[in-house]
Amino acid sequence: MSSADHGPTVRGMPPASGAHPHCDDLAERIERFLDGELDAEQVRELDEHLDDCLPCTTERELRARIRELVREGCAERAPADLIDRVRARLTAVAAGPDAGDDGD
Amino acid sequence: MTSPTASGATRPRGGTVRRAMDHEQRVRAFEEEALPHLDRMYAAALRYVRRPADADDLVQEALTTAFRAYHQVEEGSNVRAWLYRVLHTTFLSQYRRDGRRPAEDPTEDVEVAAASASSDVTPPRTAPSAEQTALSAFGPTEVKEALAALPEEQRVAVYLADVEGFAYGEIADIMGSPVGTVMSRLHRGRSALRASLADYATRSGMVTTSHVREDGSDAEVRA
Repeated sequence: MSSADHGPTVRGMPPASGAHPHCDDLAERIERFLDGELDAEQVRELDEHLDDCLPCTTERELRARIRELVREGCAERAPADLIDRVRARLTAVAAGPDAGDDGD
Repeated sequence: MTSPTASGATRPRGGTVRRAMDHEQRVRAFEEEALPHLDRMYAAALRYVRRPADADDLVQEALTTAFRAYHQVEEGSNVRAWLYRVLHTTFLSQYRRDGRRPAEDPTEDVEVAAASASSDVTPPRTAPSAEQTALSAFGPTEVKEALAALPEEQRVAVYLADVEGFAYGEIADIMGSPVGTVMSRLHRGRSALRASLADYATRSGMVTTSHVREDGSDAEVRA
């Protein structure tokens, strides 16, 4: 398949993954989208492309899923008694001679 | 995007209201703001030190340090980001007393300027459907291990973005790094996670990885 006619606003039937030059550039855009770092106009442009591009839609879902897994994998909870130990320590610090010092 | 200079996360200024509090009031105010984040700070601490006992210590130390400086924090400022900043600096001072730098990525600085253009660190693209298939077996435990294997600064950046949802500017503030460096760390860390995913899928015989390039020919011909 010739890629010569795939401009930056290519629409229509997407070729196989990776054969579409514009899509590789969009990986970073998708990343920033998921990070909430795109402005409204950029989000609109991306949505427009995703509507027509299955590989990029799959790419977005894959990246979103990996993030979800990172969140699920890093959901450890503090030991149940940590909060009490912290409280006790803060109270001791507050009552101590250096309470209110700048600490830096 | 939150600008690192505007967020105030690392530059608490004198809070006159808090200065006027007595000790008990100050403890209570701090507890109300900080302790809801305890579980997440503990999870964050595990990304720095791995051992639960060390994470426990790190969180206690960071919260004590934060409490001592709390009266300087302006009301209405970004306390959550500030707490993570304190966690980060506490880690650096407690665990890096020997001045040892974290595992350096020698190419990082060079790549800062080209962070957005660095397609060379993107792992070879497998067919998305194969990666999707792999995801069904690649669970949180595998991702967590892959994350633990990343260089410290990439691991922390990915954690702060993916789990805590901090903006680039906030992460830059927390880690004391330029935004471009943060973006580079995120990009590299996520690429590595993705490579682990593909690797896991290949090793477990779930898929045959096909290193399809953009031009579709180069790699195959030489092989």
